[in-house]
Amino acid sequence: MDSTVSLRTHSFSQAKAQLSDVMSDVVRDHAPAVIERHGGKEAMLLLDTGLLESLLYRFAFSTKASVSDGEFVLRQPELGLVAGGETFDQALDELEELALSYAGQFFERCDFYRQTDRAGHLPYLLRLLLANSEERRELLVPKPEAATEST
Amino acid sequence: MTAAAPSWGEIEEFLKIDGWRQLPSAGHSSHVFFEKVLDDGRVLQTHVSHSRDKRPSPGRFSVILREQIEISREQFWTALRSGEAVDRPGAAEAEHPVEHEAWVVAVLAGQLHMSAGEIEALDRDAARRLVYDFWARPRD
Repeated sequence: MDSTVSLRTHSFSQAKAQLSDVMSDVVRDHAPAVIERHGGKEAMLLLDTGLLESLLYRFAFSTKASVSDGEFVLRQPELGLVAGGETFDQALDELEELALSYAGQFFERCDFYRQTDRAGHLPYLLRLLLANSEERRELLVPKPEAATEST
Repeated sequence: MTAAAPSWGEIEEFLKIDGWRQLPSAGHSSHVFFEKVLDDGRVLQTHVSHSRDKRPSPGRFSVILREQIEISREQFWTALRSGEAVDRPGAAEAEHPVEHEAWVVAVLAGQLHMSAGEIEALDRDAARRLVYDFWARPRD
């Protein structure tokens, strides 16, 4: 079965010539599209970032916090990161910096990590990279529903 | 938790003894990442601060041992003294600090303005109770 049968598919040269129209379809109509080359041996998917964010929604972070000898310690289990700081905000600053550094390393060697036990980190890292700094901090330390309702 | 933690420099020394590979830095970072591929194919990662003379807190060091390096405190110090890599699989680090959901500590520190020492003294239930009591207070 051809897995791309229901998706709009363009050859590379066709997409290159009509890139503006292709992008409009993807972004405005939220219609994913596939671009192929070498007779379909290589293919990539174009996806509206908003649609991707909604697909990644279920990859939620469950960061834990502790305090030891005056240091706030954050453990991020989904990405295996540990950060610290003299204040909670400093620890969160460090966690954000570590997560971005890790994302850079991960996508630099994505082909390697995809074959390891770290493959599952990919959607979490994508979710962080799609967010701005403020959103990223809220992703890393999500408010519970009760808090959201009370504020 | 009273056992002293090593300096970041000592942790880096351990990682070199234990065969970890330093990763090229990805952009500006105040940390250096290290990676070790285990015989079973799993990939461990940890990082050290550029401030080699500083020490993480004992609690943070415990979390690093348990979650990232996957050895006990005793195995860490033995390797550092002997200069020999740890036999794996390593033993699990037994000590660990009381952990809360991060949002609980965010409220205690950010909205209830509690000090690190005050938060450290709380168990999980007491910490949550303080947060829920705070939310239940009437607002002006």
